[in-house]
Amino acid sequence: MTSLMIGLVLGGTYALAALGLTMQYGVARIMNLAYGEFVISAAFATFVLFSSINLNPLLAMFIVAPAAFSISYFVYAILMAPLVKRSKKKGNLENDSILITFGLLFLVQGILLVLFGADFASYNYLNIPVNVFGITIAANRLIAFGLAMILGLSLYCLVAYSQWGITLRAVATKPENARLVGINVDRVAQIAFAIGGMLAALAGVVISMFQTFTATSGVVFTMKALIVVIMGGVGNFMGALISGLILGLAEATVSTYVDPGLTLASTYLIFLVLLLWRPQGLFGKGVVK
Amino acid sequence: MITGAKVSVAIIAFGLLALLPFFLEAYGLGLMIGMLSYVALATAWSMFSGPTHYISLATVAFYGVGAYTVAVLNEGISFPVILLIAVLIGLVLSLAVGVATLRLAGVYFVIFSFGLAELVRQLITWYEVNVTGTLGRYIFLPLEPQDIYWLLLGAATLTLIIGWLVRRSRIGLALRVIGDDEVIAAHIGINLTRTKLLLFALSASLITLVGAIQAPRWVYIEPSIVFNPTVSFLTVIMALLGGPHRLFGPLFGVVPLFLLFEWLSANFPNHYSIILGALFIAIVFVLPNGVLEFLDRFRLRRAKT
Amino acid sequence: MTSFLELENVAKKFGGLTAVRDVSFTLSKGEIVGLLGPNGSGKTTLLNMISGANKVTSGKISLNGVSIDSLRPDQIVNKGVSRTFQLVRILPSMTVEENVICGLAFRKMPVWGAKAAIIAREKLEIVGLKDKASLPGHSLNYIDSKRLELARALAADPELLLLDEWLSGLTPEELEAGIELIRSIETTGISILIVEHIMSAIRALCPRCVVMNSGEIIADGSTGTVLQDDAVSAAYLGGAPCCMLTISLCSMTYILL
Repeated sequence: MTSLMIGLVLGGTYALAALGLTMQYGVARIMNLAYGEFVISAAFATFVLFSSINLNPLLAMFIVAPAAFSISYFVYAILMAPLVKRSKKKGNLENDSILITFGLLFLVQGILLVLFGADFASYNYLNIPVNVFGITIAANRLIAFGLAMILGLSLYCLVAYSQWGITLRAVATKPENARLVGINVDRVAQIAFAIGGMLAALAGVVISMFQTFTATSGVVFTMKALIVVIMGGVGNFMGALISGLILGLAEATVSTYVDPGLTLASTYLIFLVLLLWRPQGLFGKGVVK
Repeated sequence: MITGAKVSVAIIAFGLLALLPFFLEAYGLGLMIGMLSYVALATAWSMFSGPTHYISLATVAFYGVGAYTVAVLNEGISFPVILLIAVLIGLVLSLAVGVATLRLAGVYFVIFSFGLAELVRQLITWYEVNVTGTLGRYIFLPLEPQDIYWLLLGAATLTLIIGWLVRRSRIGLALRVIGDDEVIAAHIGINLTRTKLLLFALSASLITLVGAIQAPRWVYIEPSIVFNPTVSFLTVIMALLGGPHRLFGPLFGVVPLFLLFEWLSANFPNHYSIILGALFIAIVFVLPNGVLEFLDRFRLRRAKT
Repeated sequence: MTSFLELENVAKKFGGLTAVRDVSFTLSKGEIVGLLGPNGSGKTTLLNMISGANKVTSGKISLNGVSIDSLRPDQIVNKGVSRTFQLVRILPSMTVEENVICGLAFRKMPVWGAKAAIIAREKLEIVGLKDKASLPGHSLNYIDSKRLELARALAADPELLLLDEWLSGLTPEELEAGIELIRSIETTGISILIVEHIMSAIRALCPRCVVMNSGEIIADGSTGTVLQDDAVSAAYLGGAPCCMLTISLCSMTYILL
């Protein structure tokens, strides 16, 4: 039962991270291989705020998230916008964005390594056992899960029911047609990218509450977020939420009953089975191409 | 076009390179070993990723598998046999990865290749810790640095020759068509999956070979050493700088970047990752088709005015 | 005549949408048939199923008595079917000649090397592109791109040629020349299935035509009779506003671009 709870907590953060990537890849069409680096950077920022001025992570969120939004906004303006402009030929944007963000990955990772070294980082926040329905779980995990779910669901509602959400979905499904009905696709893409970055940062804050992390663990987060996005169907927000939870549960199960060293392998196994069986995703509407 | 003059230049260059170990001291030889290995890696990478635009980020997965095979088998079996086994393992792994991902849109392949090195690294670590009980192995093979140099020179030459043959063959043309337009490719009779699979496996096997040849240089090997993501990163950036669409493109990217990398890691050991990351971004922006193509265009423009 | 291409109760669904339902018809060796119908009536989908680009949901397609409906496009090419595309597809990074050589290099009996260059020139001469052989593919204008596409399709040495609105968008003079070109191809014994909107071209080229509407065949017979059929004119008249809309949308996009 504890493993179920741990899985749900983990899954909640994956869902949050995957929502951000859905924004960046599904809406803005940027395949961001440096996504995990954004997550880890936010985790480090929270870590620094907590250990230097003893700032509560829940409050740190209000600094980290807007910062991540503006940084991503400018990253898009500086790095991505010229690529979008250049990619008149179909398919180029995907390749170019993969390459650029691959470079960005090393850049950000290099900065993190210089600042924090290669050691594991963590801080002690609300690490007290709480009893929920007879299951004992650390309070920080409980908060993390609640936070991930609240953020994830509110984003989902925004996308599903607001005017802005309709615009967003229009760009996600058919950017050419969205342009015809007067949507400024480039602008929507830029904001979607920035929101994606913000969600990555929020996932980072949440993760930092209960997990140790290093400057080089970004790749794994990118990988997991990507798998969740594909599992849910590219551009499908509810799919990403549910798939995130599924992946978290699967990992927790493997790490409890099989071997903690095999969690990444199990993630990959899920990915592989999915590719062979349903490449369009569990709830997918097909691949954006 | 291939002319007699070009062939003789190539043969003379090969001969001079083969004689190099007699004139170099240890540091220079080490430098040449590194450079040759990247020539082979970047050329092998471009063989598949150049024409198809399927960006493989998994170079170090195969490279590491090659090196690890040597580490596991280095007692009792002769080195050429070990190399052969390593190549076979790389072949099987690449076929498995390819079968799963190459039928689908290119992005699945990229994502899969992106995490493949991490997966293989964790699996080997798990195996070593749980099954064999030790992490890290020693390689004691009676190979001198110059032996490794000659082997790598052979591997790099082999890669270039294979690359040259592929470019002249139907399968090379098929890859170019696939890179241009997969729909046309299918409708003129090209078996998409088989063609991509074949070339990916060929490229990955060559990369595995390079990893295996280099393994004895380390003496002590553990997963975190041989599965260093910098190898994948450098391979891609070098191939891109030189231009992955040309046979000798990657070569022209390797030489300056490898020297730069050496200099950076000697002088800025903590910051080279940042500098290389920035450089990578700059290359994608400024020279999307590589330096050779850029020079060609420049010459053309000069000729016109 | 024995049937060469045979479609039996072919249907195609995209999710909930039925694009083609229960279509059956045959084409004889050497025959040239026009496939007509308003936009969205399922003509291109039908062509895609014959060429293997779309898989049939149900039904059977066979060529020379051999089932081809479960084959991949490249296997179908090797059975002797080649096609052009509604939105012209040229290999942009290759020269005109290389585009045609690609058609030769991967067919059932591949030609390669110097011999391929000679045959490629021949095919280019047929379509009137011989002078532009060494130009890059992306530099061609619309009509020349169409010619090149046809040359590439011919290079695959087809028994059956599928033309998807190959004559659309041409000027009257170009249309005249295009019709002549297709007629000359037909005389070499190649069976041709033409999807087209231009009635005059169908009248000039095809003794027989098949008309589709909403995914079904509503008429099949000699062109003269079929085009006077009430159901056919109803389909086209009924489809007229839809056509108008498409035209106005097209022009809008044009202006926007």
